[in-house]
Amino acid sequence: MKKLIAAAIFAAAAPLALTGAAPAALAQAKAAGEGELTIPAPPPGKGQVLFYRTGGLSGAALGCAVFDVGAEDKLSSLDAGKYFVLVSDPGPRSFTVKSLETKDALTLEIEEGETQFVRCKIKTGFMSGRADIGPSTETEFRTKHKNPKLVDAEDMSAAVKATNYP
Amino acid sequence: MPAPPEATVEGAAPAAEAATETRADPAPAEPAPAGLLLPRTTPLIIAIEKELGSKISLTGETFPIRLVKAVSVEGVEVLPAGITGQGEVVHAKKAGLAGAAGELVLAARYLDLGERRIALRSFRFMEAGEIALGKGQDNTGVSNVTTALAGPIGFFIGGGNTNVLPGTIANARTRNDELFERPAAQAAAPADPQVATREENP
Repeated sequence: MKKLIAAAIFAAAAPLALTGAAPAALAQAKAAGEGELTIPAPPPGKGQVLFYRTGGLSGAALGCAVFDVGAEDKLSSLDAGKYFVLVSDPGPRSFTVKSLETKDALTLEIEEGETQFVRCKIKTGFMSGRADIGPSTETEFRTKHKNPKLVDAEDMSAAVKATNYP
Repeated sequence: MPAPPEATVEGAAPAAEAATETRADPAPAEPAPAGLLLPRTTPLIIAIEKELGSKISLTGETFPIRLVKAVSVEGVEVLPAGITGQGEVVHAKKAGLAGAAGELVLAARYLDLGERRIALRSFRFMEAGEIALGKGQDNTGVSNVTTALAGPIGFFIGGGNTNVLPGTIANARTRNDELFERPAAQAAAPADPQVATREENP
């Protein structure tokens, strides 16, 4: 009986102990600065766009396929927690994401020598989640995307793959 | 948009480049560039002179801008504060259902200096308000959680629109090298080759 009571007390106390230890572990990881993504500058005469999608449970099973507006072949797909970089000629360029219920579009002014940021989110829909892209910033990317991972090579178009997996 | 003054920009190329060419006859030393060069991508501080917003603006719409800080080269003011120009709404989208935020992407196109047009690029809201002004309140997370807990009602939660008031300060950069005439008094003894900005007097 004593063993049973001791086990019950241990089981009750374990979550509290783990909760107390977790912030310390996170603080150590932040202090080490591990996983800080270094974004290379675009090639001379070019600009680039970094597309990303933060992790999370909502819509985790859905991909966020990014297309040029009017194109049939996707540039790449973003799973939760992934990113990819698209090198582009300077000038306005429009992108779209498609889902079962709807599609969303975004136009950016790509500038030579600069990196712009686009975030994809999966929002609520009637029957399934809806992909949504919007302008973002490096500050938001670094703040909300703590452990970014590059999209798998097989999920990229040839041009995007050449940039991200040289 | 008229083409930048290519001829004058080429004239501003460093004399050293020409000096490295091998020449048969000894020519006199090239004089220093007569003009004042404002290099491309020089940062400028501009103000938006019209109310814009993800709900009220349309993609392709233009809006007036004004240079807030004068720009000087070698101590000579080449772009006075207060000159005006034009920007363009590159992308505007109203806030939507399911918490989607309104979006607004702007571009600075040019400043008019008399009859001369100074092409601009790299529009950015000042850093402190960059996130807030380029995008409205994003309620996607709230919508998703509400849907998970209370069903489809979460779909009807809207996002926020973004609004840019007249006088909002932003950054832009010059797109091309720009050459300006050096004042006669300075032509003999050029000052330090530096670019500086001076705030507009109210």
